[in-house]
Amino acid sequence: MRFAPPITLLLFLAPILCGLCAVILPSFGYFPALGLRTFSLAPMRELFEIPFLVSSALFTIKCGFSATLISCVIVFSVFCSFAYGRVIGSLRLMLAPLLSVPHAAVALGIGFLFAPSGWFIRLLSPQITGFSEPPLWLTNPDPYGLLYVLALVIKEVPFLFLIALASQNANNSDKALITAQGLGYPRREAFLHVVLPELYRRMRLPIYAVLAFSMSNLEVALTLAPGRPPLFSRLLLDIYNDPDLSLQTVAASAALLQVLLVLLAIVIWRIGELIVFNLWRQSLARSKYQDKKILLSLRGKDCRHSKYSLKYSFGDILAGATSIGLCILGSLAIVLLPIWSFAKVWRFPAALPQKWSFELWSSSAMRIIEPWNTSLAIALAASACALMLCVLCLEQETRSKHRIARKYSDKALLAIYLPLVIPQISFLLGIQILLFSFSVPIAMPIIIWAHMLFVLPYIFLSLGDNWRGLDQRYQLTAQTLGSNRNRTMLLVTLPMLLKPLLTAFALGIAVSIALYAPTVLIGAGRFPTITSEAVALAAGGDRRLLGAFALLQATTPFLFFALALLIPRIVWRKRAFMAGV
Amino acid sequence: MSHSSIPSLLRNLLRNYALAVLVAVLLLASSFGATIAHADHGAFHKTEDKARGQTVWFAAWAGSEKINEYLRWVAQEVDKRYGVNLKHFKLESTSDAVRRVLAEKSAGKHTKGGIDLIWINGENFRAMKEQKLLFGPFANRLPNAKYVDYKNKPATSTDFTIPTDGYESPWGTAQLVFIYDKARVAKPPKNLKQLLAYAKKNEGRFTYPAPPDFIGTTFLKQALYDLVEDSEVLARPVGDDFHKITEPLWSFLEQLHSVMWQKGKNFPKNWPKQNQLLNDGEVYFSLTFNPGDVASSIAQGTLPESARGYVFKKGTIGNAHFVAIPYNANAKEGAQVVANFLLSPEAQARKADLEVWGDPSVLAVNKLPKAARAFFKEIEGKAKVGALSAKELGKSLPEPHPSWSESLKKEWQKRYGG
Repeated sequence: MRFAPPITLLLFLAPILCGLCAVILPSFGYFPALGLRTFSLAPMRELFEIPFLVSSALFTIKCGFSATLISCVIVFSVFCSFAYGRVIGSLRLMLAPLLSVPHAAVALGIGFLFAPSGWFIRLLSPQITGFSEPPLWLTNPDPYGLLYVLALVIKEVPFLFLIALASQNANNSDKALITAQGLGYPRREAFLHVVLPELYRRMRLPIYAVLAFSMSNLEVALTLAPGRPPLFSRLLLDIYNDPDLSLQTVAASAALLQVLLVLLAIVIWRIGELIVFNLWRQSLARSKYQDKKILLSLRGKDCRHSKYSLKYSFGDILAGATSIGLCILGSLAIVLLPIWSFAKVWRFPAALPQKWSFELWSSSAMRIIEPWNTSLAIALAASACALMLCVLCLEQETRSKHRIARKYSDKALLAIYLPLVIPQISFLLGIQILLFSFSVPIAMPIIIWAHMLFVLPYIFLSLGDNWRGLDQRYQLTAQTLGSNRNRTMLLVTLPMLLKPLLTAFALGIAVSIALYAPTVLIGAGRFPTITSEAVALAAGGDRRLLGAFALLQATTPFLFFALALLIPRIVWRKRAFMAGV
Repeated sequence: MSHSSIPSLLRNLLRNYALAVLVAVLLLASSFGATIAHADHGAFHKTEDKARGQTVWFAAWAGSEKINEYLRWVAQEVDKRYGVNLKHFKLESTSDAVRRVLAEKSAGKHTKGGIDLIWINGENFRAMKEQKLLFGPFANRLPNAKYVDYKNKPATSTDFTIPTDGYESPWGTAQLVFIYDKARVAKPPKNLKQLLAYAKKNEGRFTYPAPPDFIGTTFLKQALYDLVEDSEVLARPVGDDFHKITEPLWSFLEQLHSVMWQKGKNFPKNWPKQNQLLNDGEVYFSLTFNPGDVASSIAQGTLPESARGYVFKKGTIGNAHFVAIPYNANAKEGAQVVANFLLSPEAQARKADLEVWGDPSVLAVNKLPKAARAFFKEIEGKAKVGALSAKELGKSLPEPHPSWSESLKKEWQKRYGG
C-alpha cells in the first residue's frame, strides 16, 4: 500500500510528460518519418503565418474565461444564498443528472433548441412568430460564441456545484457558518468571509480544470462555436486533419501553443484570484457588521424573522432562478434530441414529429447495442481500477498523516490533475506515437488505461474530500478494539464511505462514457463507443440515429448515479446515520 | 468420465468427421468451379488461401449510415465467402487514416500496421503515393479488375490527374450534383451568374460546406471552371499565376457570401449536415457527390419529398473513388480479397441500388457476362422519386490537378477562416 501513491503517479505522470515531449520534438521540426532530422523554428514560423491565429487565441481565452467565470459566479451565489437549506438539496437533485450527461449530447441538444429551425422557434411558429420557414437569424452558431458558453455553463455548473457540496460537507463548514451567524453576521456576510475562502481553496483545481476544458474541448467547439474566428482546438484539429503531411509539424507546434495558452489563462486567473482576495480581506477588516450585529444577536432577537436570515432577497431568488433555468434548458436539450430517434418525418415548424416510427430502433438495434457494450465495458473497468487506486492512495495518506510523507504525497498527488489541466489532444497525440514506437498492440486494456487517465482525477476529486473529512476517531476506536489497519479499512472506513464511493464510481462511469478524444486517438478508432459514434454522426447529420445515441449517453450514466443513491439507502435502511455520512 | 459419455464421444467424433468430409468436398467443388471461372487468374487463389482467417481493418469515412450499412453487408459476405473478417475502421475524415499510417512509419512500424485498406482518392492518394505509404501495384491483378470501364470512365485510372499506377483499385464514380427544394425554388440556377442572381433575390437560402470538406472544395473548383477562360490550366499543377487565375473566384465569393446562409460567416461542415439544413428548411439548396443520394435520402426521410437533383448546364465535376492498401498493412492478402469483392458485379450492383447506397458502378455493365448483368437489371427496375438519369447528369468535367484542391483550400481558409 505504501507504493500506491508512487505507482499511481508513475501510471499517470509518465505518459503525459512523455506524450508532451513527443509533441515538442516535431514542433521544432524534428520528425524522422518525414525525413526531418534537424531542429528548426520553421513550424513555429509557419504556425504564426496562419490567418486568424491571434484572433482565434483571443477568442478562445474569452470564451474559456466567460464560461468559467459565469459557472463560478452561479455556483458561489447559489451557495451564498442557500447554504445548508433545503433548497440546496433540491438543487442537487436537479443538477446531478445533468452532470452525468456528456458534453456532446448537451451541445447537440442546445444547438437544436436555438437554431433558426430549432425547437424554440418551432414551438412559437407559425401562430406567434408568423414564420412559415426558418428566420434568417444568426443563432447556432452565433458569431459571439454565446451558445458555446451556454452549453459549457450548463455542464460545468453541476460539476462545480457537486464538488462544492462535497468539499463543504467534508469541511464541516456548516458549523462555521452557524457560528458566524450566531455571532451576528448575516448569512451572506458569514458565507463570504468564513466559508468561501476555504471553499474556494478546495475548489481551485476543479476550477482550473473547467477553465482548461472550456478552452480546449473538441466536442462542444465542433457543434456550437462559430467558424470565424475559430476556437483554437478547432483550428488545431483542422491543421492536424490536413492531408498535406508536412503540416504535421505545424500541428505539433499548435498543440504546444495550446498548452501554453491554457497555462497562460490559468496564470491570469490566479492573478485575478490574488487581487480579488486582497480586496476581500480589506473589506472584511472594514465590515460594518463587526460590532453592530453581535449586539443584535446578543439582544436575543429571533434570527428567523430578522432581515438577514431566512428571508430571501432578490439576489437569492435570481441565483436560484438562474440555476433552475439552466436545469430546464439542459433537460430540454437532452430530452428533445432523443425524440428524433422516434421520428420518421419532423419538419419545420412542427414542434413534435409529424410521423412517428420505431423503425430506427428495430432496424438498427445491433448497430446501437454494439457500441453501447463497448462503452459499458470500458467505463466499468476504468472506473473500478481507478476507484481502487484512489482508495489505496487515500488510505496510505491517512496512515501517514502525521509524518512528513503526508505533506509530500499530498503535493505529489496534485499531479494527477494534470490530464484535466493540460489540453487533451496535445498529449494524446504524443502518447499515440509512443505506443507505436514500443509496438504496444491496440487492445482493450490500453483504452481502459487511457480512459483511466481522465477518470481517476475525477474520482479522486469526488472521493478525496469525503475521505479526508471522515472522523479519524472511528478508525482509532476500531484499532483500539484490536482490529488491524487493513481490517479497519475494510470493515469501518469503506462501509462508512459507501455512498461517496458509489458516487465517485458513478462519476467515473459518466466521465468515461463522455470521453471522445482518448477513445478515438488511443483506441485508434477500433473501439467505437456511443460517444465516438454520436460525434461521428453529428458530422454526418443523421439526427435520428444521433438521437438514439444521445438517449443512451444520457440514460446510461444516470442509471449508475441512481444506483449510487439507492444502494446506500437499501444497505443502511436500518442505520440511517450511516447513510448520511 | 462416466461410461455413459463414451457413446456420445463417438457420436461427436463421427459428426466431426462427417463435417470435415463435407467441408473438403465443398472446398474441392468450389475451387474447381472457381478455377473454371477465372482460369487466367489462378495466382489469385494463393492470395485467397492466405487471406482466409485474416482480419482486415477497412478505414472508411463513416458519416453516412447508408454507406456504413453497405459495409456491414460486405463484411458478412466476405466472411461467408472467403473467411475474411472485415472490420470497419470508422473515420471522420480520410486524412485521419493517412496520418495514422504516417505515425506508424515514424515509429518504425513497417509491418503489422493497424490499417489494411483505405477508402481514398485525390489529395490523400497523392500524399500517400508521394510519401511511399502504399502497397502495390495490386489493382490490376485483381480478377474482377477486367470488368472495370477504364475506357469510358477515365477517372478510374487517373485520380485527379494523377495516374493510379495500380496503387488503388477503383470502387465507385461520383459527380457533383446540386440539390434544390422544388417546393421553394421554381427554376434552379444552372450557372454561376444565375446562382448569384438567385442568392441576391433570396437572401440566406444558399450555402456550401466549408472547405477543407471535399464537397465544399469541389464547389470552389466547379466555380473556377465557370470563371477561368481556359480550363486547360486546371489540369496542370498550380503555378505562380495562381492569384491571377483565381482572382475572379474570390470576387465572386465576396458577393455570394454576403447574401448566403448566416451571411457567409458560418458554413455547414459537410453535405449530410447541409442536407439536414435543407430538410429543416433553413436553406433551399444542398450539394452531393452521389447522384443517387437524392432518391435514397427522400426514401429515408432525411430530405423532403420535394427535393430534386440537377447539374449545371456546362456540366459538373466528376471523379472516382478507390480503395488502397498501406505499405505496412497486416493483412495484405485479405485486403486484396476485399478489394476484389468490392469490384464484383454483385457488390457493385448492390452499391448502385438506390435503396442501398446509390453510388454509380465503375464497371462496364454492357460487357459483363450475362449472369452478372442480371444483378444490374434487377436494380434498374426500381425507378425512384428524385433519381437522376445518366442523360440528366450530362457531361462530367475532369478533376483539376490535386494541387488545385490544396491551394484553393488554403487560400479559402486564409480568407474566410477555419
